[in-house]
Formats: sequence, C-alpha cells, structure tokens
Amino acid sequence: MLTALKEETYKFCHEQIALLGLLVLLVTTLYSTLTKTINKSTLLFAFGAIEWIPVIIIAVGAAFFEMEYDNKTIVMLLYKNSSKLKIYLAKFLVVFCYSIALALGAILLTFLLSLLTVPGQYHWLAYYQGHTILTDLLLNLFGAVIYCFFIVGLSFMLIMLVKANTVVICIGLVLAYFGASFSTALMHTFPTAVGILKWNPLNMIFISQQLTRGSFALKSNLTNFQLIIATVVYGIIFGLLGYYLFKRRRV
Amino acid sequence: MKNSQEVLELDNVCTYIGRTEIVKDASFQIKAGDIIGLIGPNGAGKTTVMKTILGLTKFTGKITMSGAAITENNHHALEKVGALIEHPAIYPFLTGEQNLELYSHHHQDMVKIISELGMDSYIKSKAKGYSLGMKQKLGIAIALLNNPKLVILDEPMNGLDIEATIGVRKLIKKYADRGTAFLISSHILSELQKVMTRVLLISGGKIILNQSIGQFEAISHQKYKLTTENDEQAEHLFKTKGINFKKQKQYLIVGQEDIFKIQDELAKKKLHLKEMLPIEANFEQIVVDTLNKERD
Repeated sequence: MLTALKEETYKFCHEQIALLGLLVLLVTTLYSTLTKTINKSTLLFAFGAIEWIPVIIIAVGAAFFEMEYDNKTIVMLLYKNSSKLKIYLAKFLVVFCYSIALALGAILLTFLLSLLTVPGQYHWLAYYQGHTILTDLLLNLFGAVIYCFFIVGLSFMLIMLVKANTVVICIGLVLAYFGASFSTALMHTFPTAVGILKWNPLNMIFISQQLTRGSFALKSNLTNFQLIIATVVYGIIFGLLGYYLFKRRRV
Repeated sequence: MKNSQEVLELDNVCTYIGRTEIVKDASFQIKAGDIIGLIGPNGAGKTTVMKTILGLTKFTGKITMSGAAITENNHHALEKVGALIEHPAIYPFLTGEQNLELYSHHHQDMVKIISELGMDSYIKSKAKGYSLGMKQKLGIAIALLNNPKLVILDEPMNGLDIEATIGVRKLIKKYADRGTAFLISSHILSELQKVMTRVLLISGGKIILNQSIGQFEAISHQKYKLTTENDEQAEHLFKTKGINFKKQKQYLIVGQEDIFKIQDELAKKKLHLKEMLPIEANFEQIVVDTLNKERD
C-alpha cells in the first residue's frame, strides 16, 4: 500500500492538474476580493474558497483517475499490482490529502488577503456570536474537507460511470450551484417526506456552511452531527460504488 | 546462456470477455531464452492472450509463471514480467527518465537500458514531446527493466525507424541469450522471423500451430520448381497420377511430399528432369497458407 501511495503521490505532484487546481483557488479568491464587499462573512468563508475547493476536487479527482486510461498506463498499473483496492485507495487518499492541502492554502490566502484588503479591521481572536472568527473559519474549512471526502467518492464513481472528465466537471458545477437549492425545493415540495428527503445526497452540501451558521439547519433539516456522519457515509458509499465499477472496467 | 528452464505455462486457458470466449483452450510453454512469435490475423486473440497472461482478463484453466500460479487477483508471480501491450504505458507529464524511475528497482540497470536503446539525448525531456518511435522505445525500455524472466511485447516495432528496429532486434537477442524469454506479436512478419525461435499461430482464438522456426519453415510447405524435356507430357502424367502441381512461367511447381513419386513416374515414362530446385520458403506465404488451411 505504501508503494502504491508513493507512486500515486509522485505522479500527482508532477501532474500539472494539481498546480492548476491551486491556481484556480488563487484566482477565484482574488476575484471574490476584488468584486465583493469584504466583511466578516467573507473571512469566515475564506473569500469563497469554501465553495470552490469541492469544485476543484471533483475536476482533479476525475482527471487524476481518467489519465491512467487516457495514457494507457492502467494496463501497467493493474498487472504490476495484485490488488485493485490498493490502487483505488492510494488514488483516493492522494486526492483527499490534496483537498486538505487546498484547505490549508485557503487559510493562508485568507490571512494574506485580509491583511492586504482590511488590515486591522477584524481581529481573528475576537468573539463573534460565541466563536472567534478564526474558529469559524477553521470550522467551515473542516466542513469543506468533510464535504471533499464525499466529493472524491462521487468524482471517482462518476468517472468510472461516464468515463469523460468534462461530464464529471459539469455535474460537479451543477451540484455546487444548484444542489443545495434543489434539495431545499424538494423538501418544500414534499413536506410530508422530509424525514426521508433530508438524507438525500444533495443535502450534504450544507455541511460547508452549517457548522458555523446554525440557521442552515432549518434548510437542511439535519443537525451538525447528522450532517457530518451522513456526508462521510455517502463518501464511503460512492467510493465503494466507484471501486466496484473500477474492478469491472475492462482494459 | 540459454537453458531449458520453464518460465511460463498455459494449461487449457480459455478467456472470456463478457460471455464471449475469446481465447479457446490455449496450452503452451515458454522456456528461458525462447523468443516466441505470436502470429495471427486481426482479431485472432493475440492481445487477449497477452492480457490473460498478465492477469488482466477473466479466464479458466491454469497459468503458471516459474511454477507460481497467476490469477486475476494474484499477480505476485508477474513481478519478473515486463510488458508492452498495445501502446507504451507512459505518463506524458513525466520525463522519460522519471517514467522509468517509477518502475525501476536498480538505477544502474535503468541507465544501461537507456544507453542500449540510444535514448540518452532525450531521456531527460518530458515524454509528451516524444515522437511515436521515441515513445515506443521508452515502452520497450520499461518492459526490460528489473531483469525480467519474461517480456511480452505487442507490436514492438510500431513507429520505429530502421536503425531503431535493428537496435531493438539486437537487444531482444542479447536478453534472450542471457535467459530472458520473449513473447512477441507483430504484423511485420519478416521482422519477427529474424528474431523468433518458435512460432505460435493463432486463429479464431485457437492456437493452431506451435513449432520451432526451423520446423515451421522446413516441414510446412516447402515447394519445388521443375522442368522436364517435355513439360506437356509431364503435366498430363501428373494429372493422371493425381499429383498436385501449378504452372508458373516455364516451371511446374510441386510439393515436397510428391518429389519421390514424381521422380519415379518420370523415370517410368523415361522423361528426364532438366532442372529441379527448392523454392525458398516465403515466411509470410507459409503463414497465410497455414491460416487458410485451418479455415478450410
């Protein structure tokens, strides 16, 4: 497993997509800085990075797996390894770790951009509705990382299913922009079925905001704990489905 | 340093894609130092045989590598197998050297292969800029890493120029002399003929012939061309005696199996042979004839 992990990390570090993801994060946060009024909320959500990290991860995850098929290296990868699970897990871990790295990068970027745009205006350790801004920023990024676990599973499952990066990226964008509102609308339309509908996977998008804004629980109809557990469980389910499809995919 | 140590054995192997049987009951052995040419028409199952050996397809029967079983889920026995299947397995965002490093266990061995294949001048540049031939050489280099016992090469000469082709051929022979076995498929039969020691002919998923190259050329379809002092009379004689022949320019072409009968019959009719020469076996023709015979 360690060898597979080393190989996957080596490939990932040398592939431009990792750098490109970081660049997208930089550009989108800069865009938010230049186009939006900067307030506490902007800082809590890391200048929009909370929304963009999952989108980047779905694209990177799909591209990182599909390149093995595009470059025909999958044949080598499969015959040199007895366990497909090791290959799959190594890739999963690498992309998930990348999402953590992006979250850490987002923290640094938030510090830097706040220093440049609103110097001294907000104190990171000052209490705001019972939490410091720093705690809320970290909580939101924690939510984003948990959501990324869900997204890596989804991305791997989708790429095994549709075998086209662009389609997976489109699905990712649709999820990011319309997923939450679609889920809310669904629960509004069928209020009697909320007990079941609140567990729909689109509802998990709330995790990146609800941890610091309790009012979102009224939209998601889930507690923070339920949301975290459900997001992880969905990540595992999607991951397992992706693995099943990977095992069956012909080379 | 050739020896007769068995490297690979396939025993009644059938490969399935979905429910379709692609390889039918394949059984053969590969010994150390063997260079096996896997020949067959498009869609005969050559690549599937190779993929099956690499544990990439569902199969029944038994495959063993140096006595250890290979299954779809157990590839430990494949540690000493190098392969180039269909396309070189190359990461374009890595340099040639980094691609090799990804699989290499011995740095010195890797450096030697780079030099042997004449890749020194471009090995440190990104593989995405490589030509087809350069990629192919890199794919072959990857297959030769870590002193493999068996190397499986699917169309290795694809995209190679003459110089590179000669180089690869020499390298294959060199590794085979050291005991590495090769299973090679190629459409360029003349090229394959120059290196292989055995022929495996496959058609419709079935191994229809497994012979040493010498046996294959000598026994298969050797023909003779002859002229007599009266060819018209000789033709009439052959027809009446049921001897198969073809007329080609001034010669009558006959099969080796009829030579003694022909000499006997001509002597009885007091017809003297003017000339009788063996026709050099054309490898491609032999293959085509054998495949046609199988289809009939």
